[in-house]
Amino acid sequence: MKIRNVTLTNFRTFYGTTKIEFSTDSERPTTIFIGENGAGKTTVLNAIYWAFTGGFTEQFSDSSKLVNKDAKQEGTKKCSVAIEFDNEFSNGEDRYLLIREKFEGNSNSEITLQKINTKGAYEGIQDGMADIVIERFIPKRLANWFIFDGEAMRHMHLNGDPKFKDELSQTFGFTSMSQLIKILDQIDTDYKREEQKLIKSDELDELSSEIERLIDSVSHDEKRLKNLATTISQERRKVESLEQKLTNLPQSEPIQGQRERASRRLVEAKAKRTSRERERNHYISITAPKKLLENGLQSLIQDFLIKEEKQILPQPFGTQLIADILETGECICGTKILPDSHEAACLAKKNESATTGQLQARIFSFRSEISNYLNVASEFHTVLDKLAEDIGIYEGEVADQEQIIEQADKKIADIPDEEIQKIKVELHSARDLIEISIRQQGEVQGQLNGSKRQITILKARQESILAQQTRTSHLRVEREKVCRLGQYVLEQNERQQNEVLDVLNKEVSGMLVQYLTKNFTAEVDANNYAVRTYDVDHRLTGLSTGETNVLKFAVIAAIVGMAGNRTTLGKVSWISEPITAPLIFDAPFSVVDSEYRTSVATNLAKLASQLVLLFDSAKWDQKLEELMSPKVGKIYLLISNAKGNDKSTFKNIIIKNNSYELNRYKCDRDETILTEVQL
Amino acid sequence: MSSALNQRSLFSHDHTIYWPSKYERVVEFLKNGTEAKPNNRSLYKFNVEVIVLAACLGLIENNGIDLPPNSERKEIALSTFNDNQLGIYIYIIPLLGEEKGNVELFRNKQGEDTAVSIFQRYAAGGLEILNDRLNTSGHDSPYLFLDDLISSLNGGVIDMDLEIQ
Repeated sequence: MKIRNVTLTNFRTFYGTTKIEFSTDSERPTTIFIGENGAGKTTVLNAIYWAFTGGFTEQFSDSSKLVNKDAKQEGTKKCSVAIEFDNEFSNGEDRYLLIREKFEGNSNSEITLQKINTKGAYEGIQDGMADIVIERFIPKRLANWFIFDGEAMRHMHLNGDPKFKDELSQTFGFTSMSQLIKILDQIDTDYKREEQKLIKSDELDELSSEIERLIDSVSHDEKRLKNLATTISQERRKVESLEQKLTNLPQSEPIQGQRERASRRLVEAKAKRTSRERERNHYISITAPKKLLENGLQSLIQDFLIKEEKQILPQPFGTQLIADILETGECICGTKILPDSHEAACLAKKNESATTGQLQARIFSFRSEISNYLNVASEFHTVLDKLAEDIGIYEGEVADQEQIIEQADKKIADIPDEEIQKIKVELHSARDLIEISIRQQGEVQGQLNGSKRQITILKARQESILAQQTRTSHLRVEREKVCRLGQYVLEQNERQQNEVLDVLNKEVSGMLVQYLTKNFTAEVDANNYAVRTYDVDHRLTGLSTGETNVLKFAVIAAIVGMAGNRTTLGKVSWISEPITAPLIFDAPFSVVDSEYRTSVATNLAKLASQLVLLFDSAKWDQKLEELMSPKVGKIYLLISNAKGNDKSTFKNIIIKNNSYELNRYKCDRDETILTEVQL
Repeated sequence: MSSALNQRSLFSHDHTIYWPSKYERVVEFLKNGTEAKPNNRSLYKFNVEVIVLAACLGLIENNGIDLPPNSERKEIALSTFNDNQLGIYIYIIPLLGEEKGNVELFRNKQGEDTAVSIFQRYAAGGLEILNDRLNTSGHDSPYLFLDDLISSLNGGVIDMDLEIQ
């Protein structure tokens, strides 16, 4: 489908009638709208969304107030959106005009669909048929795939979400193919029932009822598998979200660890400080007397030196010599020394005052010792300063660690323990549920495979009995035709699905190579369509949030490219009819990092059969303009007209070297004015 | 720096050194601060160490006082001084004080008695000063009390003019 034009009448900020022609040129399939915040970009997107579906996107506020306020004041009670579109492959033969209107006060809107014939005449389509025709071009439940704002990318999950698989199957027409296969299977069963009625065999009846029971069981198991897959996907998302929440909350364990480490360091620092303090106390206690007497001791030593020089220190008399004189009774000078004589008493007195050896030794020891004391005293301040410095270092360490402990205690006190416990319980139960569901999935899958094998065996037996009957040969011929057709459709569907996966892998990987700096490839799981990324060594690898959003854009671009047969790395030979609606993005780059923007935009323009991008004027730059230029067919500016006086906030934009204003003041009313940029 | 001197060799006789028991509080304070038992803030281990410090202070402040009657004294054996390498102060104090440079103190028992007597007088005088300081000091840490004491005496430490005999 391609949109030719959209006409808005008194719709929200659009006063009166505004007709917008869209680019339908297959070489330049892009139409661009640029406006500042509040200029009406989301209104344009929702006008199209509403016209096709009757609903609005999540970001559209006050959806009940659709009629332009100025028009309403002037007495208008109605607003409408008219879209002219066609089937792009019909050469203009399959062309329609869709009008959706809403009357003020009515909760429901009304649609009218008219077919435009080759001569340009309008042919009405019955009310009931309008929805069916629209559903063919853009099914309501797939509208989010083609018309959405960038923010909605956050709700897209590529982790095997069954919703993603369902919508993808429907987009590519697999769902309708599966329905066709089921219908053909039912016809085959009906024929067999007819044949059985004519044959009347108990064995056939039994086989038939057993096959039906097994088919019911298969259908039941398939539903269970689908439900289990949904549960697993939902619970995985829940786990992701809870883990994220938990990461964002302050955790007690690391803080507790930090506190324990600080406590250990504190104990060590305190022990070292105490040890140094004891050392200092011991030192000062034994050194203080020496320091106090330092000067006196110096004088005393000096005094000893002087006495030594003057030889007035006690001299050795030689106690042995006196003892010899007393014993022999004669002095060395010849004088006789008689016992108890005056001479003997004189010598004894001399001897007493000359206990020379002991006195000399004591004086020598004393002098030597106080010299040591002086040395100790001279180092007093140096040693004490060093000890004080060490103590200061450990005191600093003690203070630091005490501060860490205090901060940790504060943090621990601030931790919302209850909330964390609650999240942990939820996380635990979600993980348990995933585990149980995966186990059940395996069991059900085994049961399902068994039932399918059993059906094949029973059908073969049924076939063999029926083949022997001649009375039902005419029915069998018809049935065999249906069987062959069913088999063909089944094979084609499988081929097509394989091709889709193959091309999807190639295209998405190709885009990742193009977008990301890393050499990553993508693979889509055939069972659940989960998109997984691998590094060059084919190891499963995770992506950052920014890279994941790029991957989502790559997947969307690849899907619309495949549906429109515009892919370059591979093509699908469609047997089903895929949906080829225009891709309409509001704020496409709100979730994409700036480094990826230009490549994502050019890629979308290359792959979509029709692309509509609504840009915030701040996001539009010269680089983007240059890169997209070859693919752009039309550019519109959404200009904000405002009542009231001028304000200083005039905004301009430069496109193709021309400057355009984006807002005006002193206008008749607040409204959006559309201006086409001449390319 | 430890000494290799056996200080017993400085004495020929046993002596007992006395100090006024009324200053027991200040002795205890300089040992364990305000606590009764040794703790992290303890400064001196033994009474004898405090008595030596007191004698030095008494000498510097030239405050030698007579001992009270026997019943008001506490005693320390000379051997305790020598075991703690403090016996030498019994000579240092008199040699810097009343017996300036008189080496005859080393000669005999009489000299030793004189030294002990002078040491006791200065120790008692020093304890008196310490006690007064403690009463006016706000410190509860013996280290800070001593540090304060040393700082206050800085520059005023004994510088004796010894007479040559």
